[in-house]
Amino acid sequence: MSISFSRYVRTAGLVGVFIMTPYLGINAGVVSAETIKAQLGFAPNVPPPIKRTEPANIVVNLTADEWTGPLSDDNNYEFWGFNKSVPGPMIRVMVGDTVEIRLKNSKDSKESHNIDFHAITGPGGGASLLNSEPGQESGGKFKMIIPGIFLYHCATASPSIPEHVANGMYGTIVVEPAGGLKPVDKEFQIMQSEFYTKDGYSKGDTLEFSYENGLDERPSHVVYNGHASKMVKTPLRAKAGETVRIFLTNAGPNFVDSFQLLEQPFDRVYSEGSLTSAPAENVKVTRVPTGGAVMVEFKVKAGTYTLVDPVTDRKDKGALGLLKVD
Amino acid sequence: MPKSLLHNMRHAGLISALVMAPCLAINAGVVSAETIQAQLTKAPNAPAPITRTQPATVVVNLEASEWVGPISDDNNYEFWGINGMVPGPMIRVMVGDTVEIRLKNKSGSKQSHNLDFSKVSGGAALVNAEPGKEAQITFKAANQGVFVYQSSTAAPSNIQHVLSGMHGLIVVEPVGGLKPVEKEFYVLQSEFYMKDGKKNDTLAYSEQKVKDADASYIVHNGHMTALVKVPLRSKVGETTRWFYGNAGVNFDSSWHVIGEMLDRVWPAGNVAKAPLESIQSTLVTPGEATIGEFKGEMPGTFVSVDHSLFRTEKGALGLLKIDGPTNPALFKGL
Repeated sequence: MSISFSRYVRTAGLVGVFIMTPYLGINAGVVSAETIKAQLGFAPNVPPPIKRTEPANIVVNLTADEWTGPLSDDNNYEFWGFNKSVPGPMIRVMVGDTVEIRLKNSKDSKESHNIDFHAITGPGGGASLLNSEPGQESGGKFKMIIPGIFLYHCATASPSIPEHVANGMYGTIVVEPAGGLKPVDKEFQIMQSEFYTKDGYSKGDTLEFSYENGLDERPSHVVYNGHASKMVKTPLRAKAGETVRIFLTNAGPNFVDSFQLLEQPFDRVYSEGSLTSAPAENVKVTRVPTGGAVMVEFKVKAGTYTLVDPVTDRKDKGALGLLKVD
Repeated sequence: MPKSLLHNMRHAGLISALVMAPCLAINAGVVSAETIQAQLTKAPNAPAPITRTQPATVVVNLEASEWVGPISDDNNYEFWGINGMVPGPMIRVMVGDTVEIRLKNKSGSKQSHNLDFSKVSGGAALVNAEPGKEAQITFKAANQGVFVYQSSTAAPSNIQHVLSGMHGLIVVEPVGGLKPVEKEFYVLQSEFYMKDGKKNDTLAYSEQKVKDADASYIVHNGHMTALVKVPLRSKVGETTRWFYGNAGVNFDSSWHVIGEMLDRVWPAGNVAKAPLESIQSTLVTPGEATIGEFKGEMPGTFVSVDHSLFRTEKGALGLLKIDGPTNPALFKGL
C-alpha cells in the first residue's frame, strides 16, 4: 500500500469520525434508552416507585380475558378484565418514557377487546392500534408526555363501550413527573367502579350484566377493587407515624365519586389526578370525576380508618374499605 | 394683533390641550363608554374574542320562542329557547362592561319567559317578558368567568324551562381579553326528559322522569348527534379552547376528550386563578361551566364525552377532527 493511499484512508477515517460523532450522540439518546419490562401492581398493591432519572422503553404485557368470579360473598359475576384481575394491573412509568403495550386477547374470549389509555396522546388513547380479536395480539408504542394518575379502559364499540367498562375492563397507569414522586412510607391503589346486574337474583346466582340498569344508572354494586367486601375483610395495613399515599381511580362507568377518610381529613389532595398543580390541603371529601383519578396523602396514628364513598347507599353496595394502623 | 399676544394665545391653547387630554380620556372611559351590539353565535361557534381594554355598553338582543324540532334522528320535542336555537346563543363581554339585555317574547308563545344573569352581575339580574312583549335589564358584568344563563320562570316550573332548552353561556373576559388561541368552541351539555313514544313522535316533557333522574337524552349542543354529524375541526399544533357548560339539572358532567389531555382547566372559567394542569377528566356540576384548553399533538378523530359512559349512548358526545402530519415518536403501531 502506498503512503499516499494509507494517508488517504486515515484522513477519510478521521473525516468519518467527525461526521459520525453527532449521529452516534443522537443514536445514544434515541435507540439505546434502557428497555425495561414493566413491573405490574395488583390492587391494593402498587408497583415500586420510579428511581430512574433517564427515560426508558417500558414493555407492558397485558391480556384480555373473560371469566366467572366472585363479586361479593354471595354472588359471582361474568367478568371481562385485564390479566385476569379487576381492576387490571397498575402500570407505573415516568414522563418521557416510551411505553410499548402488547395486548393479547385470550383464545377463549367471545368478544374483541382494546384499550384506551388516558395517558396516551393520539386517536382513541391508543385504542385504534390496540384492538385484538379473540386469540390475537396487537401492540403500539407511545410516548408519555404528560404526568398524572390515569385510567385505562377497554373502549370496544361492540356490544357497547360502557358494557366493556361495566364488566371490569379497567386499570390505572401512573406517569410520574421527571425525578419521580416524593417518597412516602406506604402506597396503595383503589379502583372504584359500579356493576349493573339484572334484577331479581338470589344468593349463589352468577349475575348477568344489565344494559337497562346501566342506562338508568341503577347499580347493584359499587365496589372498591372489584369486590363488595374484599377491602373490609382484608384491610390495608400501615404503622403509626407513617405517611400513606392512595391512588384512587374512578372507572365509573357512571358515577362521580366522593372519597372520604371518616376519621381525619386528607393532608394533601392532588385534585383530578393532576401532579403538576399544587395540591389542596386538609381536605375532608374530594370528588373524583368519572374517568378521572385522585392522589391523596395523609399521616396516620394507631387505629382503624374507614375509606368510603359517603354518597347515599354506595357504602352499603361495597364502596368501603379499612386501613389498620399498628 | 401684537405678536406677543398671539404667541401667548397659542401657548395657552397648547396648555389647554395638555390639560384637557387626560380629562377626555377619562371621559371616554366612564361617561361616554362606547355602545356595542353584541355578536351572538350559535353553538359550537364562539363570538370573536374581546380585544378592548376599555369597558363598553353591550346591547344583547334576545328573543324567546317555542317550537317543535328534532332532538334526535328519531324524535321531535317541543323546545323553548332563545333566538330559535338550543343551546341559546353565546354572549361574550368584558368585566366592567354594562350589559343591556333586551328580551323579546315572541307573540304566539304560550309561556312567559325570563332569563337570570345574577351570576354575572353578582346581584339580582332577572328579565321577564310576557308573550308578545319586550323587557329590558341593565347590569354591570362584575364577575369574570364563564356562566350558564337560564330561564327561572316559575310557571309551569323553572326546571321545565331549563329542560326545554332555555339556557346558554355567557363569557365575561378579563380586561384586555383571554390569551389568544387558534380555535374556540362552545359546547353545552343538556338533559331532556320525555314521555315514552314511537319513532317519529313529538315527545312530551315528563316531570316524573326528571324526579327519577331518568333522562331520555343527554346531548351536546341540543341534538343527539349535533357534533357527530358535523365534527369540530382543527389542525395539529393548534390550541383549542372550549367553553364547556352543563345546563343540568340532574347530572354532574365528567368532561373528557378521548386521546387528548386538557392541558389547562379553569373551573368556573375564572382565569384570575391558576388553572389545573394536565387533566384527563374534569367535573362540571349542573348550572356550571368551565374553560379547557389543549394543543392538538396528533391527527385523527378525537371524541369529547361526558365520561359517565352510558350517557354517550344518550348523546353526550361530539367529535373533533384534527388534520395534519402524524408523529410516530408519540404514537405508532408495532
